[in-house]
Formats: sequence, structure tokens, C-alpha cells
Amino acid sequence: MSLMIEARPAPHIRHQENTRTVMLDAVLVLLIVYAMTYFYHGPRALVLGAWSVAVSVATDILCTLIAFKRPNIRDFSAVVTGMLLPLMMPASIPYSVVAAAAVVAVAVAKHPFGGVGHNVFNPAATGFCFAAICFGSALFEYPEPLPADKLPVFLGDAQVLLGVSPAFTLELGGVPKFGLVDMALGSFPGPMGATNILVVLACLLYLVFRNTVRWEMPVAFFATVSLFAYCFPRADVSRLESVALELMSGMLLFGGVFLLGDPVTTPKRDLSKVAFGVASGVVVMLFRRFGNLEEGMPFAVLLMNATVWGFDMLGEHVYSVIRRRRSEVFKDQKVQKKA
Amino acid sequence: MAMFTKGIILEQHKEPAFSKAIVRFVNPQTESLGTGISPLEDPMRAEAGEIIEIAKAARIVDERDGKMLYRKLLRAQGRAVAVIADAVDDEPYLSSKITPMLRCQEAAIGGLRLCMRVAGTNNCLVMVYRMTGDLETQIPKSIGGVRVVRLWGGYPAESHASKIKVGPGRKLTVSAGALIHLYRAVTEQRRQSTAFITVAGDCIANPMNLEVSLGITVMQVLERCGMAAEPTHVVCGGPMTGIAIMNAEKTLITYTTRAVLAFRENKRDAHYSCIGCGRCEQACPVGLNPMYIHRFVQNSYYRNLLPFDAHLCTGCGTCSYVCPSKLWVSVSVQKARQYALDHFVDPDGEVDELDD
Amino acid sequence: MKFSRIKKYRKKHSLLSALLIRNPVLVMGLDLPFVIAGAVSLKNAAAMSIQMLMIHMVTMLAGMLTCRALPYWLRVLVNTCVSTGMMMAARALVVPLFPGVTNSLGMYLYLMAVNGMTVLLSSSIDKRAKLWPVITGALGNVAGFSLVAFLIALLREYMGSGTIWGVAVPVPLKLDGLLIPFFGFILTGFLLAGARFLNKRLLAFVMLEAARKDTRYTRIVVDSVETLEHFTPPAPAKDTTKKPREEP
Repeated sequence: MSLMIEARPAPHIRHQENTRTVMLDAVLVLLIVYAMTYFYHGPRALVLGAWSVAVSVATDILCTLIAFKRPNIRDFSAVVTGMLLPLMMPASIPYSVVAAAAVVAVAVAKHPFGGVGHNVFNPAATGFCFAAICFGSALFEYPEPLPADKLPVFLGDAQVLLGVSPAFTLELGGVPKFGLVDMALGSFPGPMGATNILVVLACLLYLVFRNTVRWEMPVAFFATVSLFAYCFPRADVSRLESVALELMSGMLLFGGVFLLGDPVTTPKRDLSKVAFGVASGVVVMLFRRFGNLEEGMPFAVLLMNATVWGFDMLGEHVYSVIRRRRSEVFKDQKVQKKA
Repeated sequence: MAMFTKGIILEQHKEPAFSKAIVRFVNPQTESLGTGISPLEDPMRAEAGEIIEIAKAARIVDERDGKMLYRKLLRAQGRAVAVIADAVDDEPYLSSKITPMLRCQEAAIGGLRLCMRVAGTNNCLVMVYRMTGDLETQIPKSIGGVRVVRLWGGYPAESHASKIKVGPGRKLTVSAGALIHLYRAVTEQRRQSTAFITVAGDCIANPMNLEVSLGITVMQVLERCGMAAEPTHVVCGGPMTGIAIMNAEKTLITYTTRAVLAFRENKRDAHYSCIGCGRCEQACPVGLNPMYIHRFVQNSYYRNLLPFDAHLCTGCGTCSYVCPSKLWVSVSVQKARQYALDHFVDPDGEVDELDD
Repeated sequence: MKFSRIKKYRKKHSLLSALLIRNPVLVMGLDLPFVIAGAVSLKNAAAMSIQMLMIHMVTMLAGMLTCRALPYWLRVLVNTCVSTGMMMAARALVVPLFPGVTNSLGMYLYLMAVNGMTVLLSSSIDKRAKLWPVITGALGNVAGFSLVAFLIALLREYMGSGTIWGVAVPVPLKLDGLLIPFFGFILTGFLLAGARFLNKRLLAFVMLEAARKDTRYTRIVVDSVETLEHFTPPAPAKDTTKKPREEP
């Protein structure tokens, strides 16, 4: 009796985690955020999310077919991009804007630069920036969050009262009229997903625990932003309150968790991640101070995405020195090569 | 951080082979081969030179690194500051060093004492890998009077071996199987004709530790233990670093075959490419960056590999293990390692760009 | 294989080859800034094309003279002076024709004097080149540039501003973001990829035709490239130019 066995290289056992579970973590977390937006903005939030996901996935499949490759159904990266986009926009945004942003995110920022795992720029940030350039101020006028059934699913001719977010107020140097508790719970006008501060923080903890997002990046980023806000408050409030306001207004927290936590478009080395977090914090705060749009986070993310290669190589050179010195020290206790 | 938490924690799967007695599966003709040296009066008080002669005549090979034992003893004669018995089984499924250590204690400790006589030292210890898990048998704190040192931590355990403090100087490390064969050679004048292996895997009906004669085919071993399902690959060696063989009827058991594992794997759609998650970089115990090395090697971009230090790779296979896309990252890193050794590292061990 | 067919296909100075196979923007990568930043409306594209025609043709003719007589560095200087003079003349023609072009084209109106295509090609004309191939080659290059500029300008003006030639037309979704240079890069990139795709198919077809015409190898080669059978052949290019003398 002869066995039908095949030869393959080592190792012969694998971790049970695969690409699907990695992506599903992000999808699960975003579903929880969507549940909170449903609570605040009604069914329109969910329909926007579903529409954006549909457009992203369709564009992704189309682009894969154009490149003569087989579309991979288990690849949820387009789903994640589709889910992220409406969360950065107001709940009263027209469906065409979301569709345009999704098409640009997938067909311009993802596939021409290499596809899954190889893209340089964050697709969700690119889509949002494109929409911000095209439609300008319409992207920064937010409806009041509650009651939830105020927004009909298809707007048509309905009149929706739109307000400005605290980020706009801060940009002008004023103090937002919402208390800190209100802001933490999310009942103030702002980007759909980014207002739920506590929920986003909980998602961050989950992602760090599951190792999708490594802890060095958000900690460095938020520490830098807090330091900046502490030293240079924009409004006439106490320094600690300024820190809280900066962290809770606009897309800062959301971007720090989901845009800067994207493992593909950020550096891989822990040392590089810390340096990258610090640099991103400085750039974002500078954008907030001196930029003419009230929300500079996605633009800052795009700028920093272009520098990722530099950070990685810097980290590699630093580690190279450490590694070689370690291998010299332990030369007599050298690691035994496997026979 | 990759530099400070070395290695990853693997699920061990050592039961039920670990708690069963060792089964002998030997060829009676080869078992009775002798060393040809006349018996000693007091084997445990033999001289160092005699022990080395016996080791040479018995042709004992240390399964840890494939070297002849007598050569190791020659180099360590009178110079080693400590003798370490290696009973470390850090790869899953394997227990072919720790089980003989526990089950043939007298022989193993006897062999250890003989090595101590050669080295001229009284300092000795037994090194085991202790990952608490599903082990039913407890590993004692001392075996035959020799203290047992546990290596804690993730795979690969060798990266934690430097934590053992036995003092400066040369150490003699011998694996448990070689110690047992040395004891048998000195006391019973028997040549080494067997090896200790673990037979395990999800296709094996009765996983166990065997003492098999050298030269038995892998197929016979598999049939001895019984196969519960048809395997898709059979591995000689550990699951992380072993070699998948192609013909079970023509592959023989050798001195350094530590295990025969039979796995059945479902063919899955492997259309994934690298998703850039960075888990391989996190898991590497040496601190390399397998993701970039893999990408560079895929694009044959070898010249820019200098700062990545691919020559420091130890071949543990951890990067491939954690990859969610099931890519063969370790293969690419080995290629880069070969290139780096050829082009970047000069004979003194200094790393620099060599002139081609 | 009849190599003469392939040689004909690859002929440098044919008028129509500059439109696709040797398109100056898409294949040779020259004059990209004008397409990326300048071609945001059809009027801009028309202005740039007229300018390019005047500058390029005259500079190439001047180049023919300078290439025979002067060393390289002096050649470049003289050709640049000629092209700058032509640029000023073209500007005087274009600005009254398209009012507002100075604002929308900005500095690219003036940078056309030193555009890459003219500078590169006018200083590297072979000494023994004849007049007619040079003229047709230059015309072809200008035509290729204009084609790309008009294509991109049409898309960007229609989807970006919602107008065609300044006349407002109904558009499903107006995306202002298409007018920024970043999207010029992206769109040019897509067009470039499309041009590469077409070029490869065209070359495959020409090779198949060349193999077919040579009866000795027809059966073997046609069998091996039978997957190319279903491509529709383009209209055969009528080459009326005289063959230039072969360079050694």
C-alpha cells in the first residue's frame, strides 16, 4: 500500500487565524458602531452603510476582473472600506456623494497602487477627501442626532435642520455649547460614526486585544494630540477641558482608531509606529489649527501615509544596529540552527 | 514588541504520547551488535579516555545536532564547566527527548554522570521545556539527584536557553537519547542501533513514543502505530522545521529523525495575497521583518536587503505559522538568508556590502 | 515570418503611429504637466493644441537646420530661442481666440516654450533625415498630444464642471474634485494603462498577420497563436510617405 502524500516546505502546522477572521474583526466592530448610529439617526444610517458597501464591493470586483484576476469573495477589505465611509459623513448626505466617494476609494486609492495589502493610501480617507474637495461644505453640515425617526430614508424634498459640529466652533475659537458628558455619549451633531466617543473607545480596546491594531500607534497618537491641546488650547477654556474638547470633537478619535489603525497603510515596526503616531499627532493638530477646513484628519492621514516607507526603513536601520549588537554579545551562546 | 517578547506560544498537543510508556520496535538482528570492547570492571568509574573510545566504537550520534558524540566529548574533555542534558521538546507533538529522560531515568542519569567524568566537572543540570498545558504527567524537580531547569516562554525555546546561568565558559550539551546510548554502550557494550522517535499527528490512531531500529522505513512505523485516516503529508522531524517526505516506503529512520508525524489537511482556496497585517514581524524571535523580506524576494529585489539582516534567521518557521494568508514567508526568508550569506557577510562575520 | 510587416508597423515617422504606438504622452511620457494640470476644459485643450502645433512644427524645422551645423549644447540653446519666439507669437494668436485662457492655463501657457517633446525631439534629429518624414513625424506627435489632451479635457470638463465647451449641460453628478491635478495624474494613468493594453493587442495582431503572410510558417505559427483569432483588425494604415534611408 502506498500513500498519496505530497511534499511541502515547513512549517506543517498553522495558526488557526486566517484572513477572514482578521477582516471579520474589523467588520464586527464597525457593526457595533453602526448600531449606535442607528440609535441616534434612524434607519437612514444603516441604508447608507449598506449602499456604500454594495458600491465598494461592486467596484472591487470590477477592478479585479479588469486585471484578469479571480475575485476573492472572502476578502472583506472592500466591505471594511465601504463601512468606514458613511461613518465619516453626516447622516443627511445624499446617496450619490457616498457612491462617488466609494468608487474613488476603491478604484483610485486601492487597486492602482497594488490592491489588497499593497495600497499606499488609506482608501476610506481618500474617498472622504475626494468628497470634501468636490462637495465642500455640504460634508460638514450635520443634522441633530435625536429623535431617531426624524430623518427619512430617502430625503426627497424633506427639510432637515442642519447644524455645525463642535469642530467648527473650535476652529473659530469659540467654546462648543455641549457639556462634556453629552459629548462623550454622542448626542451632538457630528460625523455619523465619530460622535459615539465611548463606543469608539470600546472598539479600540477590542481591536487592541485581538491584535488587529497594535497598541503603540493609538497611544502615541493620542498622547501627542493631548500634549498639543494642553500646551496650545484653541478656545478660552482650561487646559484639561481643551484636551477633552479636542479629543472628542470631529473625527480625531475615529480616525485615530480606524484610519491610523489600518495595518496596511501604517508602519509595521513598533518603534516606527511610535514615531509615526507622534508625527501624525503633530500634523493633525497643525492641520486643525492652520487649515481652512474644520476637519483636517483625513488629509493629514493621507499625508502621513505617503511617509510610511521612510518610517519603516528608519526603524529597520535602528533595529539592525540593535540586532547585530545582540548577535555579537551572544556569539558563544549562539542560537542552535535546526538540523 | 518583537525584540522583547521572543517567540510565540504554540499549542503543544503532546498527549497521549507523552504519558505512555516507550514501546520498542526493534530489529533483533541489529540490536545485538556490540562495540567490540571488553567489559569494564566498574563502568561508572571509567576514565575519560576509555569513555571516549567506547563512544567512538558504539558510533553514538547526538540527535540534537547530528554530531558524533565522541567528537563532542573530545572537545569538552577537561574543559567544560557544566554538562547540560538536553530534554527540550519545544515543538508541538514532539516528546522524543523528554520521555526517554523520564522513563529511562537510570540510564539517562548514568550517561550524564559519565559525561561529567569526561568533562571533569560536577556541575550538571537537565533542561526541559515546560509549557503548562495538557500534560498529565508531572515533570519532577529533580531527576536522579540532578536538578531540572525549566525553560519558560514561547517557541523557539532556544532563544530562552541563554537565560540559564551556569557560569561562564564552555558547556557540554548532550541530548537525552545520546546519554542513554552512552550508558548502554559503557555498561552493556551495545552499539547504538536505535533512536527514540515520537509518532503523532491527527492521522495516527495510537500516538506514542517508539524506540525504533535505525533503518526501519517510515511506512513500517506508521503501520505499527496504525493510521486512523489517509494522510496528505507525512513529516520527518518537528512540525515547525521538519521535512515532508515524498515516499514513505523508501524513507528510513535515521539518528536525527525525532518524530514521524502524519497530518491530513483540507485543501483550501489559497488565493490570498499578503494583506500587510504585520503579524510575522511581531512574531519573529530574532526581530527581523519577514513581510518586507518576503515582498523583496517575490520581486527579486535582493540588493536592498542589507539592513534587513536576513542572515540572522534561525529557520524556526514562526513567521509562516502566524501568517493569516498562509503564505510561505519562511521560504522567502531562507532564500534571502542564503543571498545575504553569499553577498553581505564576509568570513569574519562582519556585515557589509561586499564588492561583487 | 514576414519581418517587413512588423518593420512597417514599427516605423518611427508614420503619421498614425504617433497616435497610439508611439504616442508622446502615453507611451513616451513627454509633456505630462500640460495634460495633467492644463487640460481641465476643452477650450484649454484647444488653446494648447494650437500653441503646440505652432511651436513644435517651427522648432522642428529649425532643429533640422541646427542639427546639421551646430554642436549639441548650442543646438539646444538656439532651438529654445526659436520655440520661445514661437510661443509669444502663438500666445498673441490664442489669447484673443479664447478669452480667459490666461487665467485657466496660467503658467502652462508660457511653459509650452520649453515643453519636453519639443526640446527633446528638436535637438536629436538625425543629420541625414529628410524633410517630409520630419514634418509628418512632428505632425503626428502634435496630433497624439492633442488627442490625449482633448480626451482628458472632455472627461474632466463634463464630469467636473458640468459644461462642454463652456456650455452647461445636464450631468448626473458634478464632481469638482476631477479638476485638481491629482486626478489629472490618476486619469492620465488610467489612459496610459488602456493605451498599453491596446498596443499589446495590436502588436499581437500584427505579428499574427505577418506570420500568416509567410506561407512557410503559417501552419505552425497560426496554430500556436490561434487565441488571437478573434481580434478585429484595425483599418490598415495607408503609408504614403517615402521610406527614410536606413540608419546603420
